[in-house]
Amino acid sequence: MEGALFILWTTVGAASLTLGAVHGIVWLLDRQRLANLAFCLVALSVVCMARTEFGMARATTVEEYGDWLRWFYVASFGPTLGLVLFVRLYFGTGRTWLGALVVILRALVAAGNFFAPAGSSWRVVRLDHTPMLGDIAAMSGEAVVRPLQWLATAASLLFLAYVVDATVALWRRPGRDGRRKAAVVGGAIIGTRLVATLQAQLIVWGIVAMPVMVSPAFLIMLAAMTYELCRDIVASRHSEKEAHRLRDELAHVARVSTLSELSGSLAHELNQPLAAILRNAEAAKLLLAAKEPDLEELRAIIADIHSDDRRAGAIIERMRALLKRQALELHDVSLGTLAREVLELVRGDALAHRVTLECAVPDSLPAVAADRVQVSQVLLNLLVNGIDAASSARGSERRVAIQARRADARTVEVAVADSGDGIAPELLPKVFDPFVTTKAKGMGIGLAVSRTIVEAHGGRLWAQNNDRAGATFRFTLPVAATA
Amino acid sequence: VSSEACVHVVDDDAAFLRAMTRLLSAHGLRVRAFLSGGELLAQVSEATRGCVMTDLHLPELDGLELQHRLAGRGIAMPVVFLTGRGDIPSSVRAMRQGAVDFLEKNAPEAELIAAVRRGLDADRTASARRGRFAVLTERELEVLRHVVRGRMNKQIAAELGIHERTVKLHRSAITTKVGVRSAAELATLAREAGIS
Repeated sequence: MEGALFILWTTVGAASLTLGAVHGIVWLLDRQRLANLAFCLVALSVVCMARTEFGMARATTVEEYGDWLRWFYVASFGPTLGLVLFVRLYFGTGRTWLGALVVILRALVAAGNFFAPAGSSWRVVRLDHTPMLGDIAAMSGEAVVRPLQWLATAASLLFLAYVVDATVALWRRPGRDGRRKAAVVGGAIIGTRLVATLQAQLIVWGIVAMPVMVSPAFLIMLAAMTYELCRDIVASRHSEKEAHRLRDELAHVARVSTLSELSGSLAHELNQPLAAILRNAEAAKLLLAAKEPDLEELRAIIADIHSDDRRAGAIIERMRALLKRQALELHDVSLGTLAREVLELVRGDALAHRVTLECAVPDSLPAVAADRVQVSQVLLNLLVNGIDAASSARGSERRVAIQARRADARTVEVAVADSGDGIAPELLPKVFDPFVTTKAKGMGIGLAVSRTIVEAHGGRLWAQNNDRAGATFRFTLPVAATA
Repeated sequence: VSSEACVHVVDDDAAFLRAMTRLLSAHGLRVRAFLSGGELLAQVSEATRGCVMTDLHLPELDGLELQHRLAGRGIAMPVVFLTGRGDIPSSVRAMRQGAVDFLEKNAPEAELIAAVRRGLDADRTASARRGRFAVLTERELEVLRHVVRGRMNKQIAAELGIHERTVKLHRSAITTKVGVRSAAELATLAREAGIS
């Protein structure tokens, strides 16, 4: 039956292992979070330290104690390296040369103790076994201090200087976040190190008789570091959400601007069914005035009025959907239907510019996982640009074509090709940058927003000039999971 | 059938075309409907009487181009243009080319019918005037075209490779046949009949 002392080590080891694993996973999921990797290194080293301390405390002979001590020096190199890196990565402050010096000194101490005969910095010559917290713990009764121990002490002090310097630099930076980080993380590291160094010195000089137990202090430091790292992850979730909200907002603004550009031709598109309804109603009125009204014709008129009304309603519904402000929502979407709907919206624009529209989107294409409104917006944008390019082209041909094909098992590729003058080579790498525009009116955000939308779907959007004439914009969308 | 005056309606929107056909028919007009300018061109000739009512914006062959091609083929039917919105530059060009009217698709019924009737009347008058010239021989018509352009007898004779006196003989035959008193009256009448 173990007492509280031994259980303490086991607990410290297990807790550190858990924390280390969690932060290791965070790094695996997002390789840019290098601070989490450094943390993982510290935590796993603390596990090793706890194990070696435990080993020393349970040693029965001086030799056994010395063996564990050798490994202890190796294990305690880990937190030093990890913390130097962590401070550098997480604070963004700290003097590199000082950090490097600390690491080198600590490495020398570890190597000296591991490879040279046991106890090259501090050798225990007599072991005492003393009851402590319900256990019998082995501790140094008499020891010899070697010159290498001075190096270890110097490394510890330099380490403190390094962290204090980095913490002060972070504290002085503007922003409340930096101050809190400095206070919590910097304070915890400094405090832990002070406790550990003090304890080590007291034991080494034989002033206090107790087992080497640095790891519990390290656990407290790990907890403080975890608190801050978790805050960061939560904050980055928030900013990610904020970025999504901004993207949707911008997409909405771009949609409204595209639709207002199209307002003239959309009015034409709406006028068509409305005028048909008007003429039908007038004809019906005249027919009804006859002595024997032609009921067959009247029935046909009413059927036409009905379908024209639905046609007008569908156009308004589509415009309303595009004008609505909403967040990205993925559904299974048929590209063929979507392309036809968008073509309806630009038909008037194409007609006014005498541009012929072609659509080759086979119905056999699988459904894609997409936000109907936002992908419509991308298509709408590319078509409006294409019509613009085709109508201002030098060539006689005025044509914009949509094509779609299955690129591979999981991707559908959509291409919008125009017969315009193409994109100037110096502009080609910049067309997707915001506020780059060749149009007299227009903000130049259409393509930038389109690319953001496609990328939010997990696809790509790119442009190239055609061999013959004009440019082609292509984008990919993932095939829906159910397709 | 083609000799009877018809309203030739051209619109690529089948639903609107049907509605317009019904309305004009209900007003007692003869209507022929076409989904494109090409369809119309394939089915009309110089002898076709009536007027044309066409959408300004059509895919492929648009309204203005249709008007141009009709004139090019000597088909003098007046054209009424319809549009979904007011296109001032296009309307100016259309009027210059002799459009009878330029209306929005949802224009008041009375205006629409009045425009069509004006077109039909203009065609009837022009055709009647042309009738007065129908008695002329090919040679006389040729001479007349030059006269309308204000050429002198000497120039006409040189152009056609005939004697100046022969030109004078043709001219007096023309005035007698058409029944006008002066050269000025003849020129006005000929212009109104679309001879140029």
